[in-house]
Amino acid sequence: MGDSVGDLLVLVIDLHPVWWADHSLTGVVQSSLVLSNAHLLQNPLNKLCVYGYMNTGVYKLYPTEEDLVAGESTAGKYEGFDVVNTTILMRLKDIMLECRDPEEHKQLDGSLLSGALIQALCHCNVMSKNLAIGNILNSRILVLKGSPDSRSQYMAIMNSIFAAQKNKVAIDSCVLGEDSTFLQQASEITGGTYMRVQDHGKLAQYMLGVFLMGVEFRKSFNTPPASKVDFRAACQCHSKMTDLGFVCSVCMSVYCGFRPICMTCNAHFKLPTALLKGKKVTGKRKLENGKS
Amino acid sequence: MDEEGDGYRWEGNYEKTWELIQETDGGLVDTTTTNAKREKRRLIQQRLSNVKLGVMRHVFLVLDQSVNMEDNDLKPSRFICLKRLSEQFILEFYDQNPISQIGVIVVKNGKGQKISELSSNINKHIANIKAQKACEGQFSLYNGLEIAFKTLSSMPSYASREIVIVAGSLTSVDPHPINDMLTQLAESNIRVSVIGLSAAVQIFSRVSAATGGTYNVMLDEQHLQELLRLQCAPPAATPTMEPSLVKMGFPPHVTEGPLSLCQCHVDDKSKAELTTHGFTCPTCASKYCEVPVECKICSLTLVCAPHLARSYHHLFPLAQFTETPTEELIDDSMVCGGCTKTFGNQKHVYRCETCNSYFCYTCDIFVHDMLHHCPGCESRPR
Repeated sequence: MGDSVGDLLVLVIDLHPVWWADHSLTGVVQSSLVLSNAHLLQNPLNKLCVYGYMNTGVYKLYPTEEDLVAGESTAGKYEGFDVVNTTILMRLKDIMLECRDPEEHKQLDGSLLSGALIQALCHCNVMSKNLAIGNILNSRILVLKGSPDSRSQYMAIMNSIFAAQKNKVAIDSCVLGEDSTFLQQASEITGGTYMRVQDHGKLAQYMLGVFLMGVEFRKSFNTPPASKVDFRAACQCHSKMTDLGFVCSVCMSVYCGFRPICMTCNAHFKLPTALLKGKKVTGKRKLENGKS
Repeated sequence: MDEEGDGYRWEGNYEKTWELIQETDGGLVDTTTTNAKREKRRLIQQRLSNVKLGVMRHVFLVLDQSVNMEDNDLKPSRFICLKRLSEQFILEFYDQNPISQIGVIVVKNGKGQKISELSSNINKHIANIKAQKACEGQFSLYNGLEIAFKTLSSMPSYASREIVIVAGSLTSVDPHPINDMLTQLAESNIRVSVIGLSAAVQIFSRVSAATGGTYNVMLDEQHLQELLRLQCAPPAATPTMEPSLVKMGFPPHVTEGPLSLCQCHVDDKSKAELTTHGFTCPTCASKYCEVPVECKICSLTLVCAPHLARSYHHLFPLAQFTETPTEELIDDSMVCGGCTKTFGNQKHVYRCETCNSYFCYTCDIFVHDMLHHCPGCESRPR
């Protein structure tokens, strides 16, 4: 086993301007800074990275190339905190000033959660590759999410969840708005914790109480129970959740009833054998049962 | 001589491999320029795009367990090494093809023996492979193929049928002429791929050529692992494969309720336990601890939506990034679109053709191996 190299915490914060128009961003940012500082305080080797995302882009708030140098030249740890806090706040201010165009921010959808997750995973990957041989960096991602899911990102988000699972990166989710099926699946599959916080005033307490400790310690504590995850598929034809569906053998599209041509890949299906020869099918099924 | 135009090893020039190794700023070995890494990149590039794939697969893994597998050119012995690698193969296979099925056959004493039925139960396969001990007698290609053929020929026509043979023997003891078997295999669209452990054998290459499979001979343990990994990616669909709508159940996950037995462990008295959690079949309400599984009562395939999603990256692969020398970059302060670090002294950067973002080597490999989505394209509004 290698030496301890600390933990990496990647904070991913939803900055969708339309959603925050009805909520107080300041409190949430302050709670995030408390969590960031507490994380860095636990172990001098702990690392931090903060991303912000909205409907127009993904922004890295910390570390940026310039303040890496500044952080190294300051000797005291408290000054280190100061570097983190001021960098994040400065970057946030810049971003908020950039997005004042009301034309771009009309609707409450299209938050680029997929892009933020992918960049966060790239960061975790590069950080773990730069270690000396034998050292393992424990990484986890905490997503603070307000705006609703956008369905078009389903594939990108699922693929990043699987990449996180393979790289042993846990995805924690702290949802401030409506429940998110994307993040419920992400936390369930990667072994993170999913939590919905309705009282934003108590966010700092929740964050310190649940998300500050590493995933391996959570077994010894009473963390929020696993939420009921809906693993059912939505059908292509009506976008309804279905528990009994027909899956195209070519492109894996799900339909809630039989249809002759696939909507996605234009495959022509033959009629189900049950319609053609009812009795023979039952005989075959019995045979298969007998074998298995 | 696996690359065309390279000629035999002894015809090539003397390679000064140590000169390729360079140090990074931190004093670690810079691996980006080594051949192994370039090779990996090339492998990714070979992946097919825009080809109809057989994503639902039925695969029989045929392992040679003859005396030839006791050779110790692979450490500690060929068979022990192969057992370990097949475990990795099975894990990787189910990771990439969760709704596919594997079966395992071993061939010893000239006889084939099915040690694990075609199913999606990972733990059972691995336990069954681990339980195999002694290597005995001769290898028989015919008998191995015949057992796999009998099961595979009755599989539905929308799924691809495959046999992967790992053979260390250079001989085969067959009860019948192999040509008849070859025609039968080709007629039933069964794809046979062979991985050889010792030397190229003509009959193996004929079997794989006649059935549309691949034939490779391993160089060392790492190469064998790579060859097995190549078998994890789904092959192109054969024209005779009929697309079909397959009825599947998406069982709800039950976490509380009355105690009940699950169908997966009900036969095994030592492991049968009363539990409250599990997945219940939507048609017959029988309970299973794990999915994907085929319901024992009503033969419905039970899956979860994430299982289907795992196959998506084969169907929608990410286009290759273009390699560009770093000097050609206009702006020196440019950062990688994935990890947002500067490129430093890297020789090459990689550009996405769609969003024109540049990526470093590490991110390029990571994006194509794991993420399958370009960080640049995903970070832009659509």
